[in-house]
Amino acid sequence: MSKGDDKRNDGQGLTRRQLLQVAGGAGLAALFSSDKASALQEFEIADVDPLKRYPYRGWEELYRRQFSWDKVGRSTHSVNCTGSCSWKVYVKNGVMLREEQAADYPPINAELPDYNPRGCQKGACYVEYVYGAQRVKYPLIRAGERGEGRWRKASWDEALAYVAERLVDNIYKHGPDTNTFFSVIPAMSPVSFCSGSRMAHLLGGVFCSFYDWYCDLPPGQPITWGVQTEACECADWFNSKFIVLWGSNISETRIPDAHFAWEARYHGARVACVSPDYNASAVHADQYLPIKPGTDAVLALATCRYLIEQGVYDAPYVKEQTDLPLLVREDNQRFLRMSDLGPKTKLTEATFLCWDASTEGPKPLPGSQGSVDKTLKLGSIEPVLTGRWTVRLADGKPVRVTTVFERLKKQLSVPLYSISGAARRCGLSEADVKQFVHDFATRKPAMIIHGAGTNHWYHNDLLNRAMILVVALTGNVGKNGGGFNHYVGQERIWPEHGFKALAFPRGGKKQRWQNTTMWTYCHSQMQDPHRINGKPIEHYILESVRQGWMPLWPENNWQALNAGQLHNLPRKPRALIVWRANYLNQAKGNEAILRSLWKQLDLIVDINYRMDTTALYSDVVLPAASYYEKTDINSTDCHSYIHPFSKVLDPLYESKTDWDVFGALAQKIEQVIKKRKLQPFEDKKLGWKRDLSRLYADWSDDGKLKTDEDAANFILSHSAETKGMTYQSLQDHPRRFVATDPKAWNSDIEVGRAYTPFTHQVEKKRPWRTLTGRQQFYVDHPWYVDFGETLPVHKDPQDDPQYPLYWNTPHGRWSIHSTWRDNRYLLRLQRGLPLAYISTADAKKYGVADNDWVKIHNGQGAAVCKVKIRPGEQPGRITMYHGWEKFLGFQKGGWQSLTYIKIKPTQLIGGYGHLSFRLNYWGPTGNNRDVKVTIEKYTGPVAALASSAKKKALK
Amino acid sequence: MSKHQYAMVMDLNKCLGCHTCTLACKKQWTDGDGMAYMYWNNVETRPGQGYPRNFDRMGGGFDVRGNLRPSKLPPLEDYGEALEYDYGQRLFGGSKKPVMPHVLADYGPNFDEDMGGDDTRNPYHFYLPRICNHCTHPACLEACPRKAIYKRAEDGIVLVDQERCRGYRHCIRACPYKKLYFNVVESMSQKCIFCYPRLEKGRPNACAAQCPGRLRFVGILDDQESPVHKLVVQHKVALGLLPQRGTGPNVYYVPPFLPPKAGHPRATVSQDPRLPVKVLERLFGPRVMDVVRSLEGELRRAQRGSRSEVLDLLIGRNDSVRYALRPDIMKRSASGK
Amino acid sequence: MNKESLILVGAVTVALGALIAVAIARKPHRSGLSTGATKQTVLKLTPLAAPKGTSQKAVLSLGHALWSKAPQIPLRLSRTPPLYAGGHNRDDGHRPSATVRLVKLTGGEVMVRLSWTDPTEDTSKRTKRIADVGSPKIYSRHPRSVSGFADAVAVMLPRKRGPHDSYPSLMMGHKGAPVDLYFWRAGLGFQKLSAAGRGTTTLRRREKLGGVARRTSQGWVVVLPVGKVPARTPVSFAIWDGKRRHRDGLKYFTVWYEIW
Repeated sequence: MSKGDDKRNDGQGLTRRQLLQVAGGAGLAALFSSDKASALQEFEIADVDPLKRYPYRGWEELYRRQFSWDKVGRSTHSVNCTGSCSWKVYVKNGVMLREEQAADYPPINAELPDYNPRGCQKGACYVEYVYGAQRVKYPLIRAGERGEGRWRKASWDEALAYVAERLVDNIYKHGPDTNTFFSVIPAMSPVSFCSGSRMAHLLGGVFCSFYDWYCDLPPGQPITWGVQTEACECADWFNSKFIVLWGSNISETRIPDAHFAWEARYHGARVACVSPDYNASAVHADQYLPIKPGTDAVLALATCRYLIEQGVYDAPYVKEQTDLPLLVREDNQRFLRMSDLGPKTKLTEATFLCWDASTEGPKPLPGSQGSVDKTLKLGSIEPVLTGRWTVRLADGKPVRVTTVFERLKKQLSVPLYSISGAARRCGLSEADVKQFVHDFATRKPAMIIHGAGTNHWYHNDLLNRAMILVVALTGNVGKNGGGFNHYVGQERIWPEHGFKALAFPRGGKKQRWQNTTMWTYCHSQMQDPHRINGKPIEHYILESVRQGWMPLWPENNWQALNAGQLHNLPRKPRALIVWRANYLNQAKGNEAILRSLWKQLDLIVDINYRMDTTALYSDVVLPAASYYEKTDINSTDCHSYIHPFSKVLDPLYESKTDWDVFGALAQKIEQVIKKRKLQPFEDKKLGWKRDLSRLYADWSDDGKLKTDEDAANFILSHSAETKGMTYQSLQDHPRRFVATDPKAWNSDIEVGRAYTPFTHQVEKKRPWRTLTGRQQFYVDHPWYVDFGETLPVHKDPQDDPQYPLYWNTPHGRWSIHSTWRDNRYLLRLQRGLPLAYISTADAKKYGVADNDWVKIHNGQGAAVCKVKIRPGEQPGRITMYHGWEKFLGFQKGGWQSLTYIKIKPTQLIGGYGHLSFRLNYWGPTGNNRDVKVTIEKYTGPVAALASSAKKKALK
Repeated sequence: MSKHQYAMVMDLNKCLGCHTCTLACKKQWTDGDGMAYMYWNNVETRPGQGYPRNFDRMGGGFDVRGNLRPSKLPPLEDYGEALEYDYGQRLFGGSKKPVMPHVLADYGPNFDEDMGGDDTRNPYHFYLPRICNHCTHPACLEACPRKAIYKRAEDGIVLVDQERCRGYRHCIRACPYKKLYFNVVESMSQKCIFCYPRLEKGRPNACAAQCPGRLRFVGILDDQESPVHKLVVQHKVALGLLPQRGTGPNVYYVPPFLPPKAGHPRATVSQDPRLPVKVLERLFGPRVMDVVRSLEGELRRAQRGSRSEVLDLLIGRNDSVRYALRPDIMKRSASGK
Repeated sequence: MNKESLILVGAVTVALGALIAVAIARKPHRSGLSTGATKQTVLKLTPLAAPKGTSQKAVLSLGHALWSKAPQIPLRLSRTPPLYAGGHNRDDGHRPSATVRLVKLTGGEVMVRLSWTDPTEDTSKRTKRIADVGSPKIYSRHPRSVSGFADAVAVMLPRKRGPHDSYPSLMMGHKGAPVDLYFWRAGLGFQKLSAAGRGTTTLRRREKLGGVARRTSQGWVVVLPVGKVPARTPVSFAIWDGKRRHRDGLKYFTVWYEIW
C-alpha cells in the first residue's frame, strides 16, 4: 500500500452508522439541547387543541436536517438486471448516506409515459455494500483451504506479484490457452469489462462466454432472425394492444419497466400472463393462464394453427418477410436451392426458391445470403404459400416440393395442437385458450414479452421459435408495439463498435473464445445421464469440436481422443480469473465443479468489492471499487439512453477500480517478464508474436488509455450511437442515443419514436441476417433433420422422471442473481434465509409445514433450507428464486447443488449460414428448468444462530 | 379541520410489490438506532396478516359514538425482529458454519409475501402499500394525553413532536393502522412524516418519488387541479383503508381488480370474482364494488379503443401528472428558514 | 365523530390521578381529597438532619449510615382509575409496599430515598447505540421488545416551595401552580421534569438530575435529590410498575404529604 492509498482512507474513521447518528437518523433528542421552546410548553399546552394548532414547531427542523447533504454524485449498478437505472448518491461528511433514482431520463415524446423514476428496491440500498461487512477492503491471499474464509492480508504489490508469476508460468510452461478469463455482460460496465478482456486478449488467454452459459441467450433468435437478441425498448410496450407475458414476470424482474405494461393496459391493451405460478405480474393481467411447466410450445403452436386455419394470419407479410413460402424438397427435407436446379456455387447453394403464381413455376427469392439482390422487395414475384409441385433438378430428376408453410400446416394438424388438445396438454381450460388465440387474431399490434421462465428450458430453441412464429404470422415483428421481445440479461451494448475496439483491440479473429457451457461441462466431472438418439452428449460435443463448429480450450488433439475422455483431457485449464461475476455460485452443478474443475485449477483470482461465493473459494481476492467509486458507462436493451458510473467518492479502503487493477497487473507482469528475462514468443494458433515485456504499453495503448475516463471516452467517440458525447457530458442527465450503427442494429434511432427492432427489414425491406434472408422458421441442417426439429415443434422436457417435482430457480424480486441476496435490508423483508416455495397440495403430500426446514434432493445433490407454502405455486414444482450465496443459510448444499449442465445437440451446430459459433451469440445454453427433485421434512441439526444474545422478554 | 390536506392516492392495479417505497423510506428516515424493525412505509400481501401481524383485527380508531375503541399494543414479535448477519465470521474469520441470522424469523414485515388466498384453482392476492394515513380525525392524536401529536393546520400532516413525546404509546394502541412505532433507544413514538422536508423543497414523498410502479399520486385534496382531488372527489375511484374505523384516512386506494377465474376469460369482476368481494369490502368499505365496477367499465371501453379520462390520469405519464405539490402553503417554523 | 363525544373523551382522559374522576376533572386544582383544603389530613414527613459537612454525594450512596437512622415512613398508595377499555388497565387491588426516608443536608437540600416492592424487574433498557455493521456486538443491541414498559418512580413538589394554602393539583399541578418532578425510569435514568397541569410535563434538558437506583431482591431502592425544601413544602410520590404496563397516569400514587 502506498502513501497515497493511506491518504484516501482519511476520514473513514467515521462509519456510515456513526454518521447517521450525527445526521439525525438517531439521537434525535440530542440535537435539541435548548429548553427554550420546552419552557413555554408547560404553560401553553393545556389550552391547545392539537387538531387545530400547535405552538412548538421548532423541533420539526430535526427531519429537515436529515434531508440534507453536502454532495450528490451520479452512478448506477453493474449487475446484469437489464435495468440500467441512473441514480444519485447523497454524501454527507464524506460518507455516502443513501441513494435515490436520478429520475431525469428525457421523455421520448409527449404521449409515451417517461422512464422515471428508474430503479428498484435493490438499487435503493446498494450503499449497504459500500460499507457492509461483506466488503473486501484489502488484497487477500488464501491462508486456509479454498472456501474456508481464512485469509492473509497482503499488500497490492505482493498480491499482484502472486498472480503475475503464476500467469506467466502458465503461459511459458503450459501455453497461453491455459489461462481463462471470466467476466460478464459488458453493457452494464464496459470499461470495467474491457480492463480485463484487453488483458486476456494481449496474453492470449481464453475468454469465456456468459450470455449463453446463463441461458439468457434465446437461441431461437439467432436461428430465426440471425441476431443475438433484439427487443424493443420498454417504452414501446405502451404502443401495444395485446401484451403476452410469457415466461417473464415483469413485476418482479423488470421492476423499472413494468409500469409500461400496466399503463398500456389503461391505454387499451389487453394483457395476458402465461405462467405456471400466480405471481406479481399475473395479478394485473386481463387473463391469467396457469400453464403446466414445459408445455408453452404447445400453446404457441396451437395459436399458429388457429391463425392458419381461420385464415387470420398476415399473408402479405408472411410472403415478404418469412421463409414460409420457400420450397422444400420432399425427398430429403432440404430447401430447394438454386444449386439443385443449376450449377453448384457458393451463391446458388444459398439461394432459395418459392412457387411464383404469376409464372406458375419456381422462382428464386431475393435477399438470401446467396442472392445478389439485397432486398426483400418481391417485385413481380407472387409467392404461393400452399401447394405441392414437381420440379426437375439439374440432373433432370423430378422431385416433389412443397412450401415451408404447407409443411407447417401438416405438422400442426395433429390433435395436440388443436384448441382442445392444447388445453389438455397445457392444463388450461378451452375457453381460456380460445380467448388467447382470439386476442392474437384480433388485436394489433401484439407482442410477446419473453423471459427466463421459458427460456431456461432445455428445448428453449423450440420454444423461442414457436413463439416467434405466432408474432410473425400475425405480422407483428418489426412494428412498434409488436414482436417477440426477450429481456434476460443486459446483453446488448449499444455503442458496440467502440466497445469491441476497446475490449479486443486486434479483433475477434485474434482472440481465443470459449462457450462456457461446454468449457464447464467438459472440464468438470458433471455428466448428463440422458441419451440423445441413443448417444451421450459427449458424442455430439466431440463431433462439433472436430468439425470446427465449436471451440474447446485448451487445445487438444481432438481427432485422437474419444468422447469418454472429454472430462479428463490431457491439456486442462490452469488459471481462472473472475471479475464482475460470481462464476462458482451461479454455475449449474457447482458441487461437481468444486469436486473436479476447482481441484485442477492452480490459480483462482477474484476481483470483487464483496466477498461472494467465488471470491470465498478463490486463492487471491483483489479489492475492487464499488459501483459508486468508479468511472464507467451503462446501457441496456430496455431503453435507448446511456448514463455514467461516477466516483461519488474515490475508491474506499485499499480498493481500486477494475481499470486500475488490470493496469497494475499489466505492469506487474511486465516486471516479471523483465526480471526473468523471458523472450517474446510466437502464438502460432493466432499468428501473433507476443512481447509481454511491453504489456502495459499495449494494454494502455501507449498511455492513451491510462485512466478509466480515457477508456469511457474511447468507447463513446468510436461509436455512431454516442457521436458527440463525452463521459463528462453524461453527468447532466442520461442521453438518448443519436443513431445506430447499421452493422450492429436492425432499426434506426428516431427522434420521438420508441426503438423497436427490424424496421430495416420491415420498413426498408433489407434482408434478415439469416441464410435465407428471411425470418427463418425452417432449418435444414442435417442434425435438425435427424432430431425432427426442422420446424418449431413441441418436445417434452428433458427431465428426470424418477423424481416427482420440477426444480424451478427463476429470477426473483429480491436479488439480481447473487447480488443483494446477502443484503440484510432486503433479507429482513423476506424470511431471512434461503426459501423454497411449494404448493399447498404438495406441502400436504410431502408432509411439510410452512417455515419448516426441508431437504430437497436428487441424484446430483441435496439442499437443506426453509420452505414456504405458496398457494399460487403450481403442484408438481418447487421454486427457489435463484442466486442465494452458498454460504448463507443453507444447512447443506445450495440451489445449484441439484442442477447440472444439459447440452442440446442442435445448439452445437456450425457451418450453416448464419449459424456458426460466435461468443454469446451462438453456442449451447446452460439451461436448468428440466431438473427434477424430491422433498422431505428435515429434522437434522441447524447451525447456531449468529446471536449470542439471550432473549430477554420485556412485555 | 386543517386549512388544506395533503393526500396520497395509490393505484393498487399498478403496484408491483417491489418494496422500493419501503426501502426509499427506510433509507431516508428510519435507518437510525432503535428504528431497524420499523417501516413507516411497508408493503403487505393481501389477504394476509399484514404488518404488524393482524393490525387490522386489533381494533383502534373510534366507535360510532366517537369514543376510542379498544385495541392493543403489538409486541415486537408481531412486527418481527430486524435480522442481523455475522458475515465477518464466515467470510473473513474462517468459521465453517453457514452465515445465519441472529434469530430464526417466525414473523416479519413481509412474512406472507405472495401467499394470499388459498384457492387451489384460483389463487388470489394483491399488494397493499401502507403509510400513515394522516387522518382527518387521528386516533393517535386523540389518545395522546400529552398532546405531543398534532395535525398541521396548513397541510394536514400529522406529526409526533420528537421533543415532547414521553413514549407512553397510547397512540400506538389507538391507531387502527398501527402506523406509529416505538423507538426504544429514543424512548419515543415515531411515524411517517409525509416527507414534509421533501415537499417543502418541491420534491414528492420518498415513497412516491422512488416508486417505479408510478402508482402514487400526491397533492392537496381541495386543490381541484391536483390528481388526488380528481381521483378521490371528482371521479370517486379511490377509497380510504378501513373507513369504518372513523379516523378519516387521507391516503386513498384505487382498489385492485384481479384477472378473471380460470375458464371464465370474459367474466367481469362482479360476475365471477377471483378475489372475494368480502376481502375488498373489509379493507375498503361497502363502496368498493361500485368503484371496481366503474373502473372495469372504463377499462373495457379503453380496450375497445376509446379513451378514458380517469384511466388516462392513472397512466400518470410523468411527474407533472402524478404530483401537484404546494410548497407555497407549507409554513416552515421559525428556525427552519 | 361529533364534537360532544370528543369532549367526553377528553374529559375522561383528564380524569387521572384521583378517585372521583368526574368531579376532579371539572376542577382539577381544587381536588378536595388531596389538597390543602382538608388540612387535618396532612401527612408529615420529617427528614433526618445530616451532620454538618455531609455532602450530597455521600448521601447518594445507598449504604450511607444516615439512611438507616432516618425514620422510615410507609406510603399510602392509590391506583389510578381505568382510562381506556381494553384490559390491562384494571386495578387488580395490588399495592406495592413502599417506604420513604428523607435526609436534609445543612444547606437545606433534601434527599429522598424511596424503596418499594416489585417482584419483576422491568427496564426500558435504553438500548445502546448500535455498533457498526460487522461488529459482533450488533446482535445483542437491537431492542428485543417495543411493547414493554419500565418501572419508574417520581417525587413531585410544587415549584413554589414552602407552606401552601391550597396544594397544586395532584395531576401534575395546574395553571399558575407548576410542579417540579424528580423522575427515575429503569433503564432510562434520572430526569428533571416540570409541569403545570395534566399533559404538560416537560423535560428540563439542561437540568441534569443526579440520583442513584438499585435493584434489590424485593424491588427497588432509589435516592433522589430534590433541592432545597423549606419546611411544610408539599410533596407527593408515584410509582410505576412496568409489568402492569404502567406509564403516564397509569401508576400508584400518593396524595400530598408535607415535608417538615
